[in-house]
Amino acid sequence: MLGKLMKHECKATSRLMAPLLLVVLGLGLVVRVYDGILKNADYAWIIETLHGLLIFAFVIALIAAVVCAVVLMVQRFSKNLMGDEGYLMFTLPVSDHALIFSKLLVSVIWFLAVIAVDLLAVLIAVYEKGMMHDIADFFAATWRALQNYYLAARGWVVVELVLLLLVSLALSCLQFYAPIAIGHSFAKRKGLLSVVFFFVLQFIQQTIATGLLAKLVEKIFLWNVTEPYTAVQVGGHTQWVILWTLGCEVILAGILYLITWLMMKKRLNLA
Amino acid sequence: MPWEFVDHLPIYAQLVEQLKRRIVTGDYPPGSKLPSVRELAADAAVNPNTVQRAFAELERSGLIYTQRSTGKFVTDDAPAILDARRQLASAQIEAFLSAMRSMGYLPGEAVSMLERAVEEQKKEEKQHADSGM
Amino acid sequence: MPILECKALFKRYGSVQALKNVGLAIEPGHIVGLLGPNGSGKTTLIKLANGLLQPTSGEILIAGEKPSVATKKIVSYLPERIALPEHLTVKQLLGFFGDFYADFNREAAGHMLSQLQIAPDQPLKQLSKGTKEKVQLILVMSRAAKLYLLDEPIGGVDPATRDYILHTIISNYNPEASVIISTHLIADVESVLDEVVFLNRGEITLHESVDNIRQTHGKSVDALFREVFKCWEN
Repeated sequence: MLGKLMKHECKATSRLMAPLLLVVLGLGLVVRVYDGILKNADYAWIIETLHGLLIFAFVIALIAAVVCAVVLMVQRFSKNLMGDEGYLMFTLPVSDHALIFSKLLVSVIWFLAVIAVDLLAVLIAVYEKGMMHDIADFFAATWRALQNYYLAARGWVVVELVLLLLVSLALSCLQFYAPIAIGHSFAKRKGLLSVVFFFVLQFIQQTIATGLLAKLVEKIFLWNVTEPYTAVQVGGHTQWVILWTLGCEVILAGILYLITWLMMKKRLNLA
Repeated sequence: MPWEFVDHLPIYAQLVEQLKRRIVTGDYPPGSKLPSVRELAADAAVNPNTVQRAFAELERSGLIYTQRSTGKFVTDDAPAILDARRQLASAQIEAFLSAMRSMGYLPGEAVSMLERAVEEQKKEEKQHADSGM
Repeated sequence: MPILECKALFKRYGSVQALKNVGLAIEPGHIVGLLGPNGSGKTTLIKLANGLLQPTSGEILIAGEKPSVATKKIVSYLPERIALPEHLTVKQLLGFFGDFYADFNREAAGHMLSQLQIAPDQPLKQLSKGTKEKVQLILVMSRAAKLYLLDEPIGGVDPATRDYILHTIISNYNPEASVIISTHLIADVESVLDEVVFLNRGEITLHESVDNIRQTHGKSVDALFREVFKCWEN
């Protein structure tokens, strides 16, 4: 059932996202081609100005892709689940978990797609001959450098960073899902209350985070600055920071998920 | 042919009466197959359970019978049908007399009016037939 | 086993007691009218049966089980409003229902759509409100469910459509399934019902067969309802 929900979710969201991402790639290509044309000769100032506008449009498109992905994520949850369509979605023979997860996973997939496409579009826009080689060299050098810091653990670091990215993206979705679910459990002013609860939850998290941050900073600054640290020790600390952040985010995501799910299960209140 | 139901009587009872009428007039000839419960319910826009109940009533009174896996049929028994006809007719007569009584007519007066009306009808039919020639 | 059963069911929203001590048992093979004025708790009862609301206390059971993913497989619900994603075409909606409901009869639905001359390739948002309602009704009635919950299916439709809706309900009749029609337009549906439940301010005041009501009271359910729920004093 989760698969079917995700399939439906993909269909509903790709109507907007797919063309948008294609436009971003297209603009990247146009920028590159335009650059190529400009390089070879001098042109009237209007061509130069158009070039500026084109770059501007391209940057707007890059940002728009991100903004759209976020707005779409919020809108899919609030409209499809908490609006009139909720009468259909919540009477389907699927669990509440499946409903939440289908939205969450597809939103994260789109976030990743936006990141990938934005990066790719920029690479296309600035492409120079031999750039691919330079990039490959850069990655190889980074990989080697990592060895100095992490030895055998360097593979793990990459895994941890990827996990951190995925969890962070999921967490950003849940930061919105939870207050929307709470806000919509009230009979009136659902939208307003959702916004209010968003800020309430943010405030709570900030307060706790400053507490945790203090602990983290304490740990970091417990480094004995007098002795020279080996590269491995620095690497170890950095990895510790990554794991600590990952752990906190997972727990936070879990709490927000629980809030979202409980609101839906116990206090669903469709208009 | 449309089915018509009034508000103040149970529908199954009205259905029984109207089905009897159709059997008696020959709309559902003796031995013919009746529509299925579902068909009749859809046609008359009534609940299938109501149709079921009406059929059960008719079967009890001997006007229809069930043949397994084929459906319900009107009886071949002519006397039974004539009997039903007589019952329906008596009911009409009773209804007529009681309506006249409620308007203040004595049964004798009601009968005279009835005979006069029958005469009128005969004259009209004759006139109509003559002018048609 | 009753297909729908309520035992000492209470539902409160804040300070409002929407349902009070509701006790009900509906057997399979019945078409039941859930009748009452606006705000009497009809929609609340239906939402409880669907799992869209949780009881404050008491029980509501579908074929003996609490509302859950399993009961949603056998309950077909027609909400009062259009709940379908409007960017989908009619054909895509058929696919959607087929995907999620094993008991969905796609051919029957397609047949009904063509009977009503609704083109399958149109996105829902381009159709008129009346047509959207018909599409939703067709989707709901094309499932071979055990319990159909229809919330105000005929409110705001023209007489011909109303007849079509009632005709669809009758033709779909299945002795193993029951249909609950919640409405305040009683005269129009009375002939199709075999039982009625009167709901007033959250309490059940009557649960009788239509035949019995007519026999005992000598009037239609509609007339009885008007008497019972009279808004003014003589």
